[in-house]
Amino acid sequence: MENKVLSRSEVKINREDYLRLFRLHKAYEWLANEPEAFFELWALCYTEPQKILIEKLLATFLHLSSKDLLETGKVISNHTENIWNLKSENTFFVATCDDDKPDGSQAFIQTLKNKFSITWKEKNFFNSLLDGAHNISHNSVIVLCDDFIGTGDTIKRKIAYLQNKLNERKIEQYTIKIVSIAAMEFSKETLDTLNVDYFSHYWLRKGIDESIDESEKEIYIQSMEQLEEKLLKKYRNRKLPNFGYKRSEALFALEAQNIPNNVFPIFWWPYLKNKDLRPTIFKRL
Amino acid sequence: MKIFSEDILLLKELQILKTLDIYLLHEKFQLSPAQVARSIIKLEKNKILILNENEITLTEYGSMWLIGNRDFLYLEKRDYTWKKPIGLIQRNLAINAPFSPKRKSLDKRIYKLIEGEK
Repeated sequence: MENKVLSRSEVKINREDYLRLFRLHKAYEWLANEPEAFFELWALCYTEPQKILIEKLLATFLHLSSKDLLETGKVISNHTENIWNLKSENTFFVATCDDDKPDGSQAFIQTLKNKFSITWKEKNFFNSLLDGAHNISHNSVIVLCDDFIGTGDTIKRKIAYLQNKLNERKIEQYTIKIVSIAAMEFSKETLDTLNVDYFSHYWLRKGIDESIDESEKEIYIQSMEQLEEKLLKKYRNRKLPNFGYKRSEALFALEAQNIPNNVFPIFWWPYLKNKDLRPTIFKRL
Repeated sequence: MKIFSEDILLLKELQILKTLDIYLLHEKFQLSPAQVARSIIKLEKNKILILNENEITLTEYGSMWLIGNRDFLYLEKRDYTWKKPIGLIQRNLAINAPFSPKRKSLDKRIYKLIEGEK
């Protein structure tokens, strides 16, 4: 970002919009990663409440840089070693990735593994759920690692898979725990039903439903619906997840990584209604 | 401190005007909000200017800094990054691939000139 060449504006912007965009760029430096995409998002707004909504959403958006991830790794390793008192002899960190595709959980575990004390070794870390499930032995503590927990549905499914596999292998006396970089507050409802300890460095609220005053909510929900109306409803057999997957209303991104589909699609959905490709602040494969 | 073209433009204007409305940078040079924000963040951090609402003002230190660094700012040869105009970008041809121009878009007069006609 600091060394990136930024382009001049292609069009003349009116004073009020310019100053508002300037203030947003000044407050959220990460917007300079994709300034044209951010301008396109702003240009998508045709009412004042829509513009105010973008400003409000950016104010609560959690964007983590690689430096922030370093800090998160230290917080999580400290929590697991000193609060949960986990020992390297029988603890295994397992990424929740369960196929052969690159995954955020693997990137997370990669940043995590060198934050522990000297007693921890490579064998304490598995970069896929399958590897962990097939190699963990009796009396183990299994810490499932995911970069982001949205609804909690995915982690619930992964735990069910892991428990099945361990039971098939007749592995006894194991404990499962969960750690994540960030998680949605409302996912606690699901996580609490799993009867496992969990820890996340960041807890996030829904961007509109849990962050905006009740008296103003309706107008901003309408504004978001109007903005999403401009996006293509379906592409590559994927349906537009209004307000993010299962209306998660997430506002979270890790620098240079695939954005979760729990995030409002105006930040990452690549097509407009007329099937034109649109530049987006974030990308998702 | 990495210096970009927008920094030079901003500093030149600031050296003349001492205080300026940041929208002027867009009106005059079409600098984007991202360019101006990054420039101001950097220069403010280095105490060369201060931002007050929508105006930036050169500090006393900034004034001396400009004089002391005038060679570096205004005389140093910089690498330029040329933007690729999207409308002119064509698909890359493989090495030794045959190529022929679109004959319909050629100015036919060139053929007459080649054949020696006037």
